[in-house]
Amino acid sequence: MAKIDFGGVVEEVVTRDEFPLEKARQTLEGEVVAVLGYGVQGPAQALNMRDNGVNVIVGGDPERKRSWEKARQDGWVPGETLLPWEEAVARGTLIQYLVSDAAQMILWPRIEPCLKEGDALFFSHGFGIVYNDQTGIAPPAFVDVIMVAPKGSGASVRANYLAGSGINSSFAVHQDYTGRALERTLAVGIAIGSGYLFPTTFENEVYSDLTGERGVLMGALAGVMEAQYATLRRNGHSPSEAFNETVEELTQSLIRLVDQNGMDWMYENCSATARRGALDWRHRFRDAVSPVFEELYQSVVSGEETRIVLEANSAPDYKEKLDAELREMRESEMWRAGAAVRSLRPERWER
Amino acid sequence: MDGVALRWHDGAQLSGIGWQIRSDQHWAVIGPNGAGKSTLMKALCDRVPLVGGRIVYHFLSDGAPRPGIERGNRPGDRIAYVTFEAQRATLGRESPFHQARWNSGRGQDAPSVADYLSERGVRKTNPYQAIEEPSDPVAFAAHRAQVIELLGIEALLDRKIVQVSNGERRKVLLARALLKHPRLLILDNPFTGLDECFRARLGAIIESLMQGQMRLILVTAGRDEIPAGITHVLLMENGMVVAQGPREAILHSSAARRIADPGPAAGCRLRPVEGQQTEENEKANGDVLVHMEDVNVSYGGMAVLNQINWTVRRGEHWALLGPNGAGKTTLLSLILADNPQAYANRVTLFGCRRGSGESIWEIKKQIGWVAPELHLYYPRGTPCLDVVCSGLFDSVGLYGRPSPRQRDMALSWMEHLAIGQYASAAFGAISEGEQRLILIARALVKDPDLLILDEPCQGLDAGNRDRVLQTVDAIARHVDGSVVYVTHDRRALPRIITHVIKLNEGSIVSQTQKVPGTLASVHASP
Repeated sequence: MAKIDFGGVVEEVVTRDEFPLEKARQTLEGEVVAVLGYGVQGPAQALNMRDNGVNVIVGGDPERKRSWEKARQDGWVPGETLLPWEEAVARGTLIQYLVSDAAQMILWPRIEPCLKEGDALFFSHGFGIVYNDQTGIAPPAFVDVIMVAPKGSGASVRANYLAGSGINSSFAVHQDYTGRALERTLAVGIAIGSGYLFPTTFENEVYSDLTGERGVLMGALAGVMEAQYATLRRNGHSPSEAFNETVEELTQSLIRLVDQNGMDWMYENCSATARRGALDWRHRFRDAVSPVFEELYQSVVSGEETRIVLEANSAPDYKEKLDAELREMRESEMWRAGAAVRSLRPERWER
Repeated sequence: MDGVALRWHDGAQLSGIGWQIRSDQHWAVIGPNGAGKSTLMKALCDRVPLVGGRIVYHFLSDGAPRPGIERGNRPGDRIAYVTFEAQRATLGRESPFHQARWNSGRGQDAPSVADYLSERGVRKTNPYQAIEEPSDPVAFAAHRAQVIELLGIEALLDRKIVQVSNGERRKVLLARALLKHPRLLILDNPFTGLDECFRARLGAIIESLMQGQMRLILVTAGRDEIPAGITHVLLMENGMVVAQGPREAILHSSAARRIADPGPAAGCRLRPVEGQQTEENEKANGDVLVHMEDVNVSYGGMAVLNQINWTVRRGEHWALLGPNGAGKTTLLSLILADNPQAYANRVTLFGCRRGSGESIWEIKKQIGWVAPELHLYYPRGTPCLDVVCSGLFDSVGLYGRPSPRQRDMALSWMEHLAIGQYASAAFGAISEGEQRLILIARALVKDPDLLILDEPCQGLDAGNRDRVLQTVDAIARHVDGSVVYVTHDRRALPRIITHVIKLNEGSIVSQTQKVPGTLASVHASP
């Protein structure tokens, strides 16, 4: 493990140098990796592992025509390397449970009886295990329970791999029956194309993930933007101006500076007026939202967020309700103004 | 154009350009790679700001644009410019990497050829523009049907634009340009990458276009036949106009002869290669490098390859021929380990059956590859030396750290192809032909057992093409490997070719053996 100083706290990170592809392949020698679910992470991880020489099969449902056909077009052969769920689990020794959170719950009673002693049950997200009082996913004692969570969408996992680079991931071992759970975890992590692997626990992965998406990454982001946009509009600014000063300049220009060299760099590269004001108001905003973040985190840890998700997903009119909410956002003045602003971007000027 | 000067990407510069195009003239712009031809065309299309001089567009005052047919009255509206680089705009979000064509993705959302050639696709009308521009859908539809029939692309309409072949995409881009009703149509190397049958057809199309109202400018670096209707020629070199005037006078001038036929490429001796050549194990000639048995590849019910049986042995050098869309690139993707359907077929590479535990990187390590796709997808900001070094890692973009010896090897290959001076230049800052040479150096840098050259000479001038062919011939003679070569240009085949395989509509039409150096009959039969 390499020791990296993250802002004064030293953490350990596994690198490709210590765990190269050859070692990963040796570790996985004799294993059959069964990838359940061919949505987004499933294809990316399965294709990368197969391209790395790992013995991979895909499990799915022949009745779900779209994902079955997608798998077939990617070279998985029905009856040989593309099998129904139970058969894939029976044949596999390392079962990647990559269907959606809701589907994991529904499929579990069919999967569990097919697990064998010494199998590894693999996740890319800790949801099912951590909230097992609600999901019902309680793995048997005779399997390893492990996780590698790539820090990116399935599309980037595959694209980066094929370009010759990779993606970073976190990893965790929840249950070690065979005594080899850690090396199996790292081997899969490398085989799916990870560059750096950060250790974590199932709990930490889930809590930080759920908080992140409800917080800065998606929830807080949309909320803060809507609040500023509304303030500007209320005070007489046009939709295009309000959108430019709330979203467009951020995504087209400022956030890229943060991306490259951090927030301080972005601040240093703005005007003195901007910088002075931003430094002052930063504290006010942080203090205003801190209580909300704490409330959010507790709601995640207590399982309340999970309860809400599972209840909503199992409602009969789930799709209609979801579509209505997304439509409301899409048809809001702000985001329609945004689409128009995007259509005027310089790269679209070309005749 | 009057004393036009411009700067492009801190590199290419044009100065003192004076040029007059009269309404009864059709021009060809010729000159070696890097002469500044495409840069000058961009200036003509008003896409590059001028540093000095001016361009006057007299034809714009010929009359107001016809409503619903012609969009506007600025130079960019009335001039269509068809280039290889323009294909990059068609790739978009659905195709972030060159293997995307073979990987099932969110392809369902990708635009089809029909979308691309729709009125919106052609006019790029902003859907948020509130004032309706007068549009005549009936006239557009009629014109569109005409253009589609002219270019013979009906069969492509339902296909996703990211899934059509290179040659097919060139036709689509040409169709789109014609749908803009340009007053001036600029075609940059239009014949390259098109099969013989279509080249003849395109020649006829160009001749007929020249009879109409449209004026044409043809830009070419190679020795493409300049169509009969071309009346005048502009000769460029090193960012300057060397000569301009009536066709015959210029083509037969001493300047033209000097530039177009520079003589045998000097110093084409291959330096002794380091590394791979000092291996103990003897590579026996006759080793099977590639073996395909009853291979079938299909997408969405459409068969792309049918019952392919093909073996490539070490020491054999194959020409892979066939019309556009025949399946050549798909066939190569199975060898390059870019196509997952290889796992569902009987494909054996370098003695290892696909799907038996090998990694794609072990396969790619033994193959050097260049193709138009690689050219389209390679990140434009990468320094050229890094592009060449990336061949050692089989990556698109450089993510590894080459040793000083590896960097020297890369540089010496670049110097061999006479492009060593671009080592620190960005890939996107040099001309298209020079970019192609960089990618060829990238393929050669690891001295591979199998060299797959998919239209390597596309866009190269005569001198560069000869240099590349001589290099390939020399490599084939000194190194114990095989070459698989794809081209539509009968003059761009290396002499070492020993075998020919022809494809049509996904099936093998013929496989024959040839005596090296005797390729007279290769392209004769369909």
